[in-house]
Amino acid sequence: MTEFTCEEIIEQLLEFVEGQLDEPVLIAIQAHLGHCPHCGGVVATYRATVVVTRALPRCAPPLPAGFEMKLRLLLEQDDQPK
Amino acid sequence: MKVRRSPVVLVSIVFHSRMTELTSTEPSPTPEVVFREYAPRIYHLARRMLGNDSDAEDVTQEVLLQVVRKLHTFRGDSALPTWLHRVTVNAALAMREKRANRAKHETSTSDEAALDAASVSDPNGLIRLNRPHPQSTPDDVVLAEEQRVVIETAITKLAPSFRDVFVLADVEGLPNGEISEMLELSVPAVKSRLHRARLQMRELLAPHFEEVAA
Repeated sequence: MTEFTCEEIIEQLLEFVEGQLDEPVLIAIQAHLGHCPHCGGVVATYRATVVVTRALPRCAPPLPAGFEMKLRLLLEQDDQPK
Repeated sequence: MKVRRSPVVLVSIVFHSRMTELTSTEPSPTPEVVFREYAPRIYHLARRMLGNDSDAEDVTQEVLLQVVRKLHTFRGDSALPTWLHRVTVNAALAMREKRANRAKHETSTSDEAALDAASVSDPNGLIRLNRPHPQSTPDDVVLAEEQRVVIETAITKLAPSFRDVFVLADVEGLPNGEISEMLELSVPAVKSRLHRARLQMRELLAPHFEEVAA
């Protein structure tokens, strides 16, 4: 079975957390994680970073009040017959 | 150097394209619907990409005006979100070029104030982020306002080229192929930048996770 260094594990994290790796590579990484607390910690916080970022609201908080009014005014003015 | 289409040209091209494929029975969205449904989304995407309120307001204004002026030619709104992503991304990139000499990584006064206030209220001066369970999905996570600010502030610290990819992939949830077209990058380049951005974000957020590590 292939053995990876910590550096090689970090390089493959994106594919690892997104489940895009072939089984032999996946097994080798899981074996490494089983005995390397450093990489285990990196994987956990990498995964956590992705999850909390994806939990950010895409359209909140609401527009700043002053800006919303400015924008509405601008759109109203633009709608006036020239 | 690559020549990027201006948002106005892109608007015209996409509207023309949409016009040829839509049926006349689909109603046009009203300006109020566009404003209510999409203005906050355009604003937050631009703000996350540009890292400051003022430029995000300019981009939102520019994009919305273009949309509303063309609404009478646009029937149905099924493709509107995708289209608005593209126009907003292009407008934000054009704005960044225009403001190339502006101070980097500017954060908003409101976010800094919220961050300061939250830091003061925490005995360790650090806002905690609960580390999600390994099987958690984003839907399982509810962020408090100060937690949201911690993440938003970390995003502003990324280099712009990493931030663009990170925001489009991990905040907006767009597939790598779509990001690659929008930013005129290869898919491997998108993945590489996304990975680097996530590693930087992890470093910025790890202390907040560590606080609650058992």
